[in-house]
This record gives sequence, C-alpha cells and structure tokens, in this order.
Amino acid sequence: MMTEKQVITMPQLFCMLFISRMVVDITYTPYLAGGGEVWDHVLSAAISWILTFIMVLPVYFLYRRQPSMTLADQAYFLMGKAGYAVTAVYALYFLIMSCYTLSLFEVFVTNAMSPQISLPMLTLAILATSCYGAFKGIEALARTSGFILVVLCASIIFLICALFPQVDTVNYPPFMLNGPQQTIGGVLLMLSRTACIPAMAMLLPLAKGSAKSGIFVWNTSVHLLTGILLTLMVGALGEFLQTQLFPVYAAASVAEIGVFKRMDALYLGIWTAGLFLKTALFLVLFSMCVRRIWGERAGRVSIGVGGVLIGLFSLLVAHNRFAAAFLFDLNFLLWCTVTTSILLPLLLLVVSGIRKKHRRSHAQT
Amino acid sequence: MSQNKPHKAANFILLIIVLVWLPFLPNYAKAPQLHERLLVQGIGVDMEQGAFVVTLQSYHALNTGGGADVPTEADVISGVGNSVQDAFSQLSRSTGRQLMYSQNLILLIGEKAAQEGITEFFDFFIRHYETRPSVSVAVVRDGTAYAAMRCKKDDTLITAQEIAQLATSDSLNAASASSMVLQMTSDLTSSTASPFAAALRILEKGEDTELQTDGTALFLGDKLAGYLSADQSTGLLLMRGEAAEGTQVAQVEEIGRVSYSLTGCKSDITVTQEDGQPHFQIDVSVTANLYELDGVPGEQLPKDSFDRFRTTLEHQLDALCNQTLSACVTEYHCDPLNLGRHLRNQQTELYHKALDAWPQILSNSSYQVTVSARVEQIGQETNPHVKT
Repeated sequence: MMTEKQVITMPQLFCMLFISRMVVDITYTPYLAGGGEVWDHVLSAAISWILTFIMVLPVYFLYRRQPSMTLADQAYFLMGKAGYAVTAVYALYFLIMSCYTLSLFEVFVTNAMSPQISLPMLTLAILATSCYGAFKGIEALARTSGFILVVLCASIIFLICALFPQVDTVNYPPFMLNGPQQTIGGVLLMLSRTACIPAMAMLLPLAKGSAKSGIFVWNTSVHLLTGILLTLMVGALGEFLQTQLFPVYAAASVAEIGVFKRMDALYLGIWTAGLFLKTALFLVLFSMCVRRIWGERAGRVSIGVGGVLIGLFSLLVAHNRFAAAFLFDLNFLLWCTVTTSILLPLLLLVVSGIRKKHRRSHAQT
Repeated sequence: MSQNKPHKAANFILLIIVLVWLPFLPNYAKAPQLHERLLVQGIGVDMEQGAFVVTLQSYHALNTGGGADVPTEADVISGVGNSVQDAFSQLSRSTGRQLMYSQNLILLIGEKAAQEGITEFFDFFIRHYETRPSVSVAVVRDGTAYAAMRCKKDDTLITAQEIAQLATSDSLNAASASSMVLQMTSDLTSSTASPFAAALRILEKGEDTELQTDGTALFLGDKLAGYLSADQSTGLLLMRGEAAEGTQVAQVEEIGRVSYSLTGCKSDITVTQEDGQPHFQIDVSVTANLYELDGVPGEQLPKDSFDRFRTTLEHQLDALCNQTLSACVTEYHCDPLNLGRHLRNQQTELYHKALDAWPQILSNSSYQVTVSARVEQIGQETNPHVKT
C-alpha cells in the first residue's frame, strides 16, 4: 500500500491553494459567464461559497477514509489497475486547468497590457520557471507561497483601501435586476474554476494538520475576498465595468492613494508570481499522477513533458478560435471540475463501501 | 555533499546562459526605447467635414530627463484621418516616433465633434491598451480642440497639465462639473444617465489666448445637448453631493452682502410613486464658512444673524438647484443627476416601465428640492457680535 509522507503543513497547503484561486479571480471576466453584469456575481460568490462546502465533501470523506493515501493511491488500492483510469483523468484535468489559467493570462497580457509581447517567449518564461519550481518539489513551492502570499495580500489590501473612497452607492443596482441568469452564470463560472478541490484530493495526505479548519478558512477567505473586490469594483467603476474584458485590472489601473497611482504594472508582476505558483503546483500534481501509473522516473520526466504540452496547447488556444472556444467553454470546464471533485471521489467511496460490505459478509461466514 | 556540487554548478551555468541570452530575445531587441516614443500628455479631437482632426501636446522623451532649470517645451501637432486611430498613425508618419498614450492627462473635445456624437471616437479611449480611464474630459465651448491646445499665456503655451487642472477645478470653485473617461463611459453605457463634462472657453486677450472654465457641457445620449452656466453647475454639483468648494454671495437683511465659502455637501435622492409617475425628493445639506461680511469691523450684528445667514443661503441654493433641475430636465431632457439610477435602485418595477420612454418620463416626473444649510466657522475676526 503506497502511503505519502507529510512534508508540508495544512496552512502551507491552503496558502498555495488560496494563491492558486486568487490568480484565477484576478483574471476574472464576466463574459465567460455569459454576460457583463458584475454586481450579480457578488450573490454568485455567496452561493458558490455554500456549494463549495458541499462539493468538497466527497474528497474530504475519501481523505478521512485513508489520511495517508492520495486519491490516486486509493483508486489503485480500491480498483486495482482500473484505478489507473481514474488517475489518468486527474492527470488530464490538472493539465487542462493549467492550460486554462495560462491561456487566460496570455489573453489578458496581450489585450490589456502589451499586444507586441511575444507569446512564445512569455509562455516559455512562465513554464520554464514553473517546471523548475515543480522539479524542486512541493516543499519548495510551499515555502515560496509564503512570500507570494504576503505580497498578494498587500496588493489586495491596497486595492481595497484605494477603491473604498471612490465608491458611490448609486452604482449598486438591486440584485438580479435583469433576472437570475447572471447570478446562475456566475455560480457556474466560479464552481467550474474550483480546481483546488481535485488538488486537495492529491495534496491533503501530504499535509500535517487539521483539514477541516483549513478547508473552511480557505473557502471563506477566497469567496469573501471575491465578494469584497467585486463590491468595491462595482461601487467605484459602475457601468464602466461592463465595457472591460478584465474588470479587476481596470480597477487596479484607477486605484490610487496619494502618490501611489498607476500601479497596474506592479500588479502584473504580483499576479505573474501567483501564476508561476499555480502552474508549478499543477505540474507537481500531474507528475504525482504519472508517477502513480508509470513509476518514479516517469514522474520526474512528466514535469517537462507536462510543461511542453501546456505550452503548446496554450499557444494553440491563443491562435485558434476553435481551441479557445473549446477550452473556455463554461459547460466543458464545469463538467471536468464536477467529475474530478464529486463524481470520481463518490465512485471511490461507493467502491470502498461495497468492499467493506463484502469483507463484513466474508467475516461473518 | 559532493553529489550537490555538480548540481549547483549546472544551475550556475544555466543562470549565466539565461542572463546572457535574455537581452537577445526578439522582444527586447525590437521593443521601442523610450527615446523613440512621443509622450502624449494632451489629446484634442475635432471633426471637420466628416474627418477627424486630432491635436496632441507631446513631449520628446529625451527632453523630459533634465533638471529643474531645463525647459521642457511641449510640441503641438495635429493630424487628420478617417478615424482617431487613423489620425494618430498619420502623426507618427510626420514625427517618426511611436505615440505613447499612457501619460495622457486630458481629452479635449471640440464643440462640433461633441455635437456630432462622441461615440464616433470615444471607443479608442476605452479600448486601447495604453489609454487610461482616469483621463479628464472637457468640451471646448464655441471653439475647437485644435485652438485650445495652442492657447498661450504671456507667449507660453498652456500645457496639457494646466488644461487638465482647469478641467478638474470643480474641486476649487464648483463652477463646472468635471468628468473622466471612466465616468462618461459609465453614463454612456447606462440606459438613463446623461454624460457631462467641464466646458472650457478660449478667451482672446490681446496677443494671448487664454483658457477658462465656462460651465458644464451636457450630453443627451452621446450628443451635446447644451451647457449649464457656472451657477447652474454649482447647483448640479450640490444635487450630486459633490460640491466640496465654492462661493455664494447673498444679500442678508440688515447685514448686507455676505460671502459664503462652501466646505462640503451631501445629497440624498428619494424616489416615490405619484399617480404612476416618479416623484423625486432631493435633499441637499450644505456646510459653509463665512470669510467676508459687509460692514465695519467690530460692528455688532443682530442676535439672530446666524439664523439669517443660514436661511438666506438655503433660499439662494434652493432657487439655484431648482433652476438647474429645470435646465437639465425640461430644457435639455438630460439626467446628469443619476435620477434614473436612483429610480432603478428604489422603484425597480417603475424603472423597467420607464426605460422605453425615459426622456418623457423625466420631463413628466415631479421634483422637490430641499436645501438645509449650516454655517460653521466665521474666521479669525471676532464678529458677528451678538447684540445682547
């Protein structure tokens, strides 16, 4: 039975997951949810907070069943070689989410920052550093996340303090002014981007500490911050947000306190650091899945292979509309996340339950 | 330990390779340097016979690095094109430099261009990755942005920075209502709100052509509808709760001329329904200080002088606000007061019904303005003495 050694703490784990999620929120664009109304997404954040607690239950119960085994290990233990198919699905999911995050970031940089930037060079720079970080291991990433968290929190606090005086309450319409479609779309978008739950399935056994409190703090802080940022952005920028592809960046470009203004370039640096951490973390997860199926050496090589695949596919997405429509499709992403967060862990729990029943009936006979 | 040494050496060599290779990356080699770019600080847009005339105040980057005693003269250049972006690229043909918009401070719109409709060219200032939403916007009243950008005082060009300060001087005197690209875009996107911007006028004084604020330009949709005077602009800012500064002069009975210095205001708009039409209750509360009174220093004033100061100010501002409201709603059919947004927030059902015919609803609605004032400070002189 393969067991994992606890090499990081729960706070470190959820710090990494918090940064991973905030990088996604920073490149938040309401158009992926089917519309430009940002205010209804505050309600979506509240609903998403509750639903995330429900979504995490299968992974949490699976972890409780065997705290020292990752989901990939449990899949093999419960289903034998058929468990490799489950692990392969997770490997693919981690690659897809890395592609998604990197592609969105590239769209953001080329549209909002600098169209002249060389996409292959940008992709190479991010992936080379991410592969290096992944190669160094989960402990190195956990230590790095502490520094990135401090800087990220400082930037978010600055953004909040700078936007607060600019808020005009007349910019807040009633919720669901044009119906519930925007709120529902927002919930689906936020849930579809919750790649941290499948990540937890692989990482919880590596962390020492209370998973329950970690999950609570992570989920609450992510959604609370999202709600606060959206509230301030709508209050300060009003209907202007509907014209912007990346509202958070638009808010950062108008945020100012005294001489501290036009900080959007600084924010880009901070966000890139977060992107590096997320990509490196997901490459580690990808390599963990590959290692489970093909062994230690394959696991090491897979970091580079995964990096290349992510790079190639994200460049394809940048230049091919069909690929972009495929990757950014809300339904596709949502089904991937639901499958890896709920369906597959539930399947494993059911198999575990059936095996337990068989063992009991065997023991009785 | 000995196994780590080759590992560390490999890392070191890799680092050196990356550092040496980095400057030769295509983007670094091809990226325009700062001295190859023209720093744009002011942009003016006019329309002449269907073509766009853009006027820029720009600085050459090489000239901006000097010390305090090195004069930095702005260049004023103009270009014509089928669109704003086309006009900009025409300019780069004559300057040989790439324009840099991220330092722009002011967008001046000529009156004709404003009358044609600002959505003809405004999209560039929202969409382009270098433009910023915090750029101030102003309309040149009875003139062109081309002329406004070339105004000189004492034979010195009025810089874009000075023009931007003029356009945002509502924080000093409440004589015009300022706006930014952000706010104008928000109002253009709204189904009910009307954009507005500070109005500037070119004054010819001998050889000088000076710029001065001259009220507020109101837009109906994206087209210029008319102008509010300086006093009406004060009324507009009061009802928006944005009049932080300003002066009001009034004749107070038995006292004489009094100059009030406005120090702050708050506005609260409540919307109710009356006979199926909206009724807007606009409550304005103002605080003011007194720094100038008629009369001999030390002269005793009536016991109820503070009450008189307060009520006189309230009556004056009440009349001013009503005059402004009438101009906005009845004369220009504009909503720079966010009345539509207040209706949306407080009477949502009525708002949905009103959307299709908003200008008519605006004209047919009923309004009530109530001003309450408080006189706080009286300066360092010891009067008004109160007669005992």
